[in-house]
Amino acid sequence: VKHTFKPVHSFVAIAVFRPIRTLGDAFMNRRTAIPSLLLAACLVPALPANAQDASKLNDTEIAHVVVNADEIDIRYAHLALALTRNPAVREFAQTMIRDHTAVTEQASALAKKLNLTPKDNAVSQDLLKKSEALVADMRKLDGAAFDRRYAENELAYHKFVNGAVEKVFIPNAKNAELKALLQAGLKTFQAHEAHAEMMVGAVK
Amino acid sequence: MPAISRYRRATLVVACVFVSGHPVWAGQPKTHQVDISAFKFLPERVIVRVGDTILFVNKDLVPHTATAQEASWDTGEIRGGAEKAYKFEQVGRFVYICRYHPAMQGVVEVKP
Repeated sequence: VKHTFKPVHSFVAIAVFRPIRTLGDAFMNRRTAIPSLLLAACLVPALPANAQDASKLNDTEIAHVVVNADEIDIRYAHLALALTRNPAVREFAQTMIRDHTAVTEQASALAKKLNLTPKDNAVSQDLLKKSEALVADMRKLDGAAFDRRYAENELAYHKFVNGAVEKVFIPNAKNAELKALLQAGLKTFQAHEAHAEMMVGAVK
Repeated sequence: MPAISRYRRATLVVACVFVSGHPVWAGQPKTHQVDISAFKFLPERVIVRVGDTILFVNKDLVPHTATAQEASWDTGEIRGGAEKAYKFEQVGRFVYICRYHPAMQGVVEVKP
């Protein structure tokens, strides 16, 4: 499998549904991939253990992953509000709580309307497990070091989630209303990604 | 036509012209619509007259605001699927943003 790894976002998107054979292969094949791989390996907190699982999820499982991903980012934001003194980071964290809560409410309302119960699955569990490790790691940081880590993670996390939603969940969702909600959610998460990119630059 | 009649007619016209502060030739105050969709204000630039109202309709899932950059006016939070109106009483060119998503930007030009 030949991948072009130059942009980090491409790597993340590909990683969602094509597990890399080994990091060593990538290093051997593409020297240009090294910075992207290193960055992604350091920043992306929650790549599913078996990324191919994501493409096999049904609608109830997709709904669970999306709500779970929202809740994980809300958790990161609450941690940021507890630890940061940077006003821009605080505002970003408050926006994440506000927006992801709104998306979760819409998803819950749709699930209720469709009589669909979000079903736990391996991808959700993997996201949650890795986010817990990341929270434990970020909790040890303070001040500017925390701000940088939080900003970089938000950028990487939204790239990752956007890749999954755009390339896997939207094409695979069967229900039209769920698909529409995912498309609207993707617009939100893409705006967050752009906002996070600004924040990364601001806290350097 | 007698002079007094002309005077009365002129007075009447002046009274009509300035009733509610709006010249008759400017027409009645209008309501314009700005949609908030996919994290954009649409249209991005709106020209209104003093006394006109803009209805901001949020078609996104998440809350937004329409807030003058120099803070002279603010719609407050507009929840996803909701709308808020703001009446423009002052002439000027206002660049506005969403307080929650500062990359979103629009312009309102208020003419006399």
